[in-house]
Amino acid sequence: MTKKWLHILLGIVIFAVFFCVIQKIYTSRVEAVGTPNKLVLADFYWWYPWYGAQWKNSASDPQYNAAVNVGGYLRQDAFRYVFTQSIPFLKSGEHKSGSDDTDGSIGTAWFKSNFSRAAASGIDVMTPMTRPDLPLWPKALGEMIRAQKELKSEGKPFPKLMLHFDGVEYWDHSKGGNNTNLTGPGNNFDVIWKGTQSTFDTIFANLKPEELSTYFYMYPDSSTFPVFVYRVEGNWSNVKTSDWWITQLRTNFTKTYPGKKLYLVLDDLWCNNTYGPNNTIVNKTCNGDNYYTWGGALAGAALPGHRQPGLNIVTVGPGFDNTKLFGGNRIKDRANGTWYSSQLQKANQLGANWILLETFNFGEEGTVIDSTTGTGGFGNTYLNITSQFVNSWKGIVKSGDLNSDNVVNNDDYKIFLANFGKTGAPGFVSSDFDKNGVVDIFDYGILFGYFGK
Amino acid sequence: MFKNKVIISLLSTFFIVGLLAMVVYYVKFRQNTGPSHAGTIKVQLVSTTSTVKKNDVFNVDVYLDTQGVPVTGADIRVRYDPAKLVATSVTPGNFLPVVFVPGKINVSSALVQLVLGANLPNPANGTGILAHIKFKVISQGTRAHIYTGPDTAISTVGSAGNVMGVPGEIFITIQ
Repeated sequence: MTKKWLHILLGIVIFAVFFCVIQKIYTSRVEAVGTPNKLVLADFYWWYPWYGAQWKNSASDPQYNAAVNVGGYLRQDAFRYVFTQSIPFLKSGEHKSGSDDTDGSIGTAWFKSNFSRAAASGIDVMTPMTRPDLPLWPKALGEMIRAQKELKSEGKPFPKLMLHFDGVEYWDHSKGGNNTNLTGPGNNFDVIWKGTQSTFDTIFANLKPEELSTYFYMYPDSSTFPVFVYRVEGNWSNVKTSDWWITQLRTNFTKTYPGKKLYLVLDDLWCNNTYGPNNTIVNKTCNGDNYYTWGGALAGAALPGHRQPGLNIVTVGPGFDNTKLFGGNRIKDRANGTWYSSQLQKANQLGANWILLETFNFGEEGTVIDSTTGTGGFGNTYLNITSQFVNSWKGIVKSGDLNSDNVVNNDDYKIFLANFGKTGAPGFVSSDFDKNGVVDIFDYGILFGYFGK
Repeated sequence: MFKNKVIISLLSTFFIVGLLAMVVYYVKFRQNTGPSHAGTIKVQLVSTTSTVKKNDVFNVDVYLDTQGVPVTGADIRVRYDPAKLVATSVTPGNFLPVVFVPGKINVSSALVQLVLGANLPNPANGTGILAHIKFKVISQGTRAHIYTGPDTAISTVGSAGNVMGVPGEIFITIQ
């Protein structure tokens, strides 16, 4: 008799487990939001507080001028648009009159603010432009991590980090790299390796192994750092390069940091093209782990010629204007945000998995999506476009909270009105709540349902 | 052997009961999230006159009777015979005061469209005028048909889809 009841009990347990599993599978299917590998990244120019920006006095005076300290903030003459949030003016070799910021609190606060706006706009990852040649890079990198940690402890969202090697030709100030080769061992490679090593030494000094994946985006596994690598010899001349150094960089990295790997995402030029009148990439073995095409802000979203199946990386920007730079004469009109929106949509149509935004705050080339003010400023327009796109792209139902401020109110209503009648791929426009490809009265009914929540 | 049979039958019973429970759960879930049934919301077309003659101009008001359903928006498409009438103007009424698409007249396809919404957060309820449309008579000795097309849509709170019930139509005698 006891045995019989035991069997019955066993049957009940088996059934209960079976039921729970089925229920869980079904529920998770319904609640699933977005595709895990859809990622929005934004290039981040971290150095402004310490090094200012490049700018010319006038067309007739092409000299780059030193950044100017106005009451502890960087005068923003160099930028095509004026940032709404003031940039602190901090002491560096170039900024003698800057604030000391010995404890790093000013820099950290600036990073926190930038990261908060990025996270609120749906940006998953900030890709700081890696410049180990600048003496304050390790300090700034440490403060970026500190900013992330503080946001985390405050319960606020923050983007993860991923490095973007920004023109490693800049890294060698002493030599410049002209008339040389980067086809084998030598000083040019040593500069790249040493810069990489000092950068990761800083990371490992600031983060415990178990913290890495909390603050850095790791791919394709928790031991691997993806790194974007922009072209190498952009400002050099008469250079021959190969992708030999890619393999060497991976080898050095794994040898130096056992158990850790690099996933190198190269500018497509490394595999596809030669560029520049005097530069040649030889020995194109196409040994990057993946590729991207820098230039989406100016030329539009495009898939790189070579790419790894399953991970399409597309660059997108809001427009381009480098007329503040000496010799700069390229403009891509923002068209009040329509260019940006259309290119985000194009990236979606191209099957992008990672969308790299050019840029969060690169003032000199006018590719800023961060909030700007003053004459010609555009406020939060581009952050809002970003947020709306991300929500739609990832299939995140924001319950009518179109501006992601955690309440559905008149501000969302205004965004909805602006979107009314728009069409696109189902769900593309964030106000297309029912994902039927058009923002219509049925979406309005849904907004009603969430209003005030 | 007998014990095994009992156990198997018991397990089978539990399995069937469980399966039924899951079906009920699934159906219930679908009911909670799926579109609700359309109500008997009525669109009515009302004219101050039923008989006109060539070159007369007359008004048709588009009424909405929500029949107790809270209405949030309306995409109204009014059609007519272009050989007999031409719409000359359309203005929104005050029942749904938010104007998403102001009145548009497409003469070649004999279509009048406007898209309206209720003021947030109060959906419209009851009976009221959605639009005033002016028509000019361009023929004689016939009867003109004015009606809301099947593409007219009414929305309510939530994701219930089109809750349009009874479309409106009116016949005008042309002397």
